Amino acid sequence: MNLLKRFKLSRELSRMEKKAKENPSPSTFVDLAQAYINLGWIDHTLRVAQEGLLLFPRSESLQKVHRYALMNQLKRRVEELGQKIAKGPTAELYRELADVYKEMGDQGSLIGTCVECLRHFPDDTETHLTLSHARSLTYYRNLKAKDGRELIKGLLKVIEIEAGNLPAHRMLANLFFRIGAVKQAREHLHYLKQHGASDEEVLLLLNQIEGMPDNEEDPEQLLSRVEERGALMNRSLGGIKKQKAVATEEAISGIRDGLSKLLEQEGVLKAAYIRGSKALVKGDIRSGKDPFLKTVRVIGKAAQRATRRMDLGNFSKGVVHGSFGNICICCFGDVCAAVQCSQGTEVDDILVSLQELVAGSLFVGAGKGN
Amino acid sequence: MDDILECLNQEEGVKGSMVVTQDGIVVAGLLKSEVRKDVVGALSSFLITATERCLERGQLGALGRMMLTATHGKLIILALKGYFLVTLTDQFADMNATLQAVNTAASRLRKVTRIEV
Repeated sequence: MNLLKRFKLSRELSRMEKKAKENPSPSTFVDLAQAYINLGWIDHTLRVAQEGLLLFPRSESLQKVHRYALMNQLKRRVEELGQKIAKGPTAELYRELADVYKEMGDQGSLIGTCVECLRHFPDDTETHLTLSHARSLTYYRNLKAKDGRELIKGLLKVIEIEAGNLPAHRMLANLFFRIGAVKQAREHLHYLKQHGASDEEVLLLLNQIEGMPDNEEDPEQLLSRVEERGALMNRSLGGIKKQKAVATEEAISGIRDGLSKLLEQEGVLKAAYIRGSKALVKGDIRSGKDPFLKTVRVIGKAAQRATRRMDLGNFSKGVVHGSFGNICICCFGDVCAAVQCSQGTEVDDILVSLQELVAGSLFVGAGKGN
Repeated sequence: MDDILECLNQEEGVKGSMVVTQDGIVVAGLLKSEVRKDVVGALSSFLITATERCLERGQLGALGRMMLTATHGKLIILALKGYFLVTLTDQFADMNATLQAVNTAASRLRKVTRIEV
């Protein structure tokens, strides 16, 4: 492309970028994304689609463009990693490739990559775990005893290589619980508890199996029984959590108190507790359409997405500072608590209070069903 | 500009820093090998654009600084008239000390740079 063409192109693209920002609509974003697709600039296509989806999350055309760009970006990554593996295979490269397949939703290639990796590096526990995770999805979908056996074998292999591998114990505990192998599940749960991994999930499962009689049948027989029955013996952890997470009136009043206390702190103007599409608010908030609520939702989601993709893990808290003062946000899963405070307000204590509010609300939600 | 970023990266816990424009173009960046410059640039731009749009639509005002804490690290984004200083740290970094270093770097950047967007 000569200089003149490049100049014309960049002028046209910046015109389209400007148009999309000034008159945002799904079609302006799609047009812009289409221009980038034609140029083969996948990263820019993805960026435009993400920006568009942030404003128009339900737009099917934008979702389509986003999916297309994402898949292309991932395919490019697969090619890059394939070349690197051909030159010098390492377990890390295989794992990275498996992660890309996972993101693409290509379960077959994911399993194939892990199997190939284990042929070269049979003692790589991380790959064993990735493979087990993929197999667990297949097993829970089809409930074939054969898949279940493979899954158990893989996880036991991890423990054989590294006895203290907590994720393997956790997955085994979950699997044994779901197929009804109470005794085996209890063993792994106790191991997790003894080794300091007794988080909410472990406690919830321990609580569930407490009082359950040990099953006489071994896991092998239970897997066959599950296959015959076409259903697992126990509900998933997510199912149990969902049932228990229905907040009661008492829980809601606890959150309201928490918000009131936040508002009492010096400089705090608005406070909100957001769970999914619902919000509890205190302070100078006129309606559900208050820009503060929308800002918190958007920043929370954008931060979550960005930190995950930057390999920084899950976003937990943040402060946005500007001419409006400070917006402090604390997130956990789909729960988000936030305040807006004036300039110069000390935000450290506010963040601690927000974290307490979020953690407390989750605890109340999880504990009420017991 | 690289010297300023290198000086900032000397701060304990800092994994890298970069200067990006709002549309994600990396003007300068020094990041540790495991972090991809283009990914951080694009995601920072996404974050900045999303936040600024919301603030603008809600007539709340302009973005000055963002500090995000995640499980494995922290991210500081500082607005510098038309461009942004993005700093990545590990999860153990002392935010006050890092913020001070970021502010120092920002004031040095303001003196040496002027990016027309």
